[in-house]
Amino acid sequence: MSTRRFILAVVFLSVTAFATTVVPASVERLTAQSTHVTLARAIDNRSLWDASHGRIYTLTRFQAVRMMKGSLPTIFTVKRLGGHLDGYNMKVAGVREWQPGDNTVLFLQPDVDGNFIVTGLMQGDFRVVRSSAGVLTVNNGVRGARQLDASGQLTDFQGSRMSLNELEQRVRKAAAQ
Amino acid sequence: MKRAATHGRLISIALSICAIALGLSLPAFPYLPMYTRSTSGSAQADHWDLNAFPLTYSVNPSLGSNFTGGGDPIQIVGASFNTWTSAPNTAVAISRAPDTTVHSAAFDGVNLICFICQDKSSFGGTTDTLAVTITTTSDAAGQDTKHGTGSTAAGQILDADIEFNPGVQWSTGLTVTGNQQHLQTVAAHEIGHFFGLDHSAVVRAVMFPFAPDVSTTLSYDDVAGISLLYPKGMPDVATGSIAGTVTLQGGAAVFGAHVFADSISTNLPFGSNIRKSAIGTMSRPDGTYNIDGVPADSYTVTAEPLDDPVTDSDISGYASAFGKGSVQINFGTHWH
Repeated sequence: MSTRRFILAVVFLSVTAFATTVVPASVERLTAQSTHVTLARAIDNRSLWDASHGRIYTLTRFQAVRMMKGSLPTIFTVKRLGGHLDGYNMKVAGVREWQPGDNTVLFLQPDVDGNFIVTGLMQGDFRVVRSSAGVLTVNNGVRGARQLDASGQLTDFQGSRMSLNELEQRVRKAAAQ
Repeated sequence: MKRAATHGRLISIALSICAIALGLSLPAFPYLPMYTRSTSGSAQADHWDLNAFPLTYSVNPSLGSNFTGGGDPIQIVGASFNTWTSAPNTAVAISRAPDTTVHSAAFDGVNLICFICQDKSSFGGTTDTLAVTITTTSDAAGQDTKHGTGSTAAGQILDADIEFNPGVQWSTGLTVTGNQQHLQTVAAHEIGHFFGLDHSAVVRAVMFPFAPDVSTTLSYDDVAGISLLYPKGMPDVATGSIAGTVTLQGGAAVFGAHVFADSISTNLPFGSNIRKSAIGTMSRPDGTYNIDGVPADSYTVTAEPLDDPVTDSDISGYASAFGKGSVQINFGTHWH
């Protein structure tokens, strides 16, 4: 982040975030809210209409690579609202799609239909990328922010960018509590 | 003024400002709308076709005890729509249709505003998701619009629904306390999505992904976005365009650089009701960019990687709409 932009961020940011509109949740909070947390690799996508033909859902099959909380079958399915089907494109602002081969740490809750949903939409979806230094890092697109309150006090919010190793340690510690 | 800020490895960028002139015609991809990838593979800016069918919204008026502060949530949503429709240089109108009992977003011809929305999957099972906007666009012309007509083009918005999380404590007043969220602030942002705008990387914009607790007025960046999607025939304020190409040293085009124009004066060409901010855009796959909707003023132009606090993740459809996996961030920030 450039110095100039950092200064702007300090002045104007608050801890309320829009991304569709979310309040940033810590790894520990996401862990507590989720029944399952796993490193997973996307296999394929399939979009379908709901029974009323009003909502498009996309079912993404994942291969569980390493469980961090709970237990899942090797192949499991995550359902998200939105997708492309029959010439229509339904989207939830700020929510990303998965492409086959994407690696991500997923914070999950069971849905009523036997599939899973991602806790907090994009917040529970930490994409895994390899940094230029060769370190596997994760982020969920919900960035760190600093709040300047009315008294002039600066408060840091812990951002989501971290190493995969740190994320895993924090998840396992939170899950054990 | 010319400054350069580089970090680490070779990160040289050549940014050429090709033109700054008033009255230039609109480019294909102004500002930061959401995008739909058409069946022919091109990226089309999401927008309502205002000639296709009447643009309305319907409110499900059911409310819970989680709304406090003395204001009327329905009037607040109406005021938030007015914030956008009354923006300078903007010609978009929306009216309130009869109320509805629908309580779930769907592509059904009803643009729903819902305060008691119970679909777990919409909010990801938490109260940390305050609200969501779900839009449906067509991938091509001729799709059923649910209004008895066919869609006119790829990217045409056919339906948009805003769901407010019923588990959130909403403030309908002027301020927030404790764990409250400010309804009008959130509504203003969501309505930007309703009209087709994606997140902006300009810090002071309503469409910036992170916002103050209370912020209900548009910024210059928001005005540029909405007025370019829905331009007024006779603009209130003359604006122009800054165009150029972002390349790495050696000439390789940079895709997805955030390029913004920042005024260096204290002029207020949009008046005092619009918060002065930079006006930004993203570079296309060939490195070209157009910063449109720029009022007459003196500017610095900056190209920067989208690497925090806003990232590729916050602009969910931009890279994929151009058939790319992500935007480029392998360069440093440069000012011109």
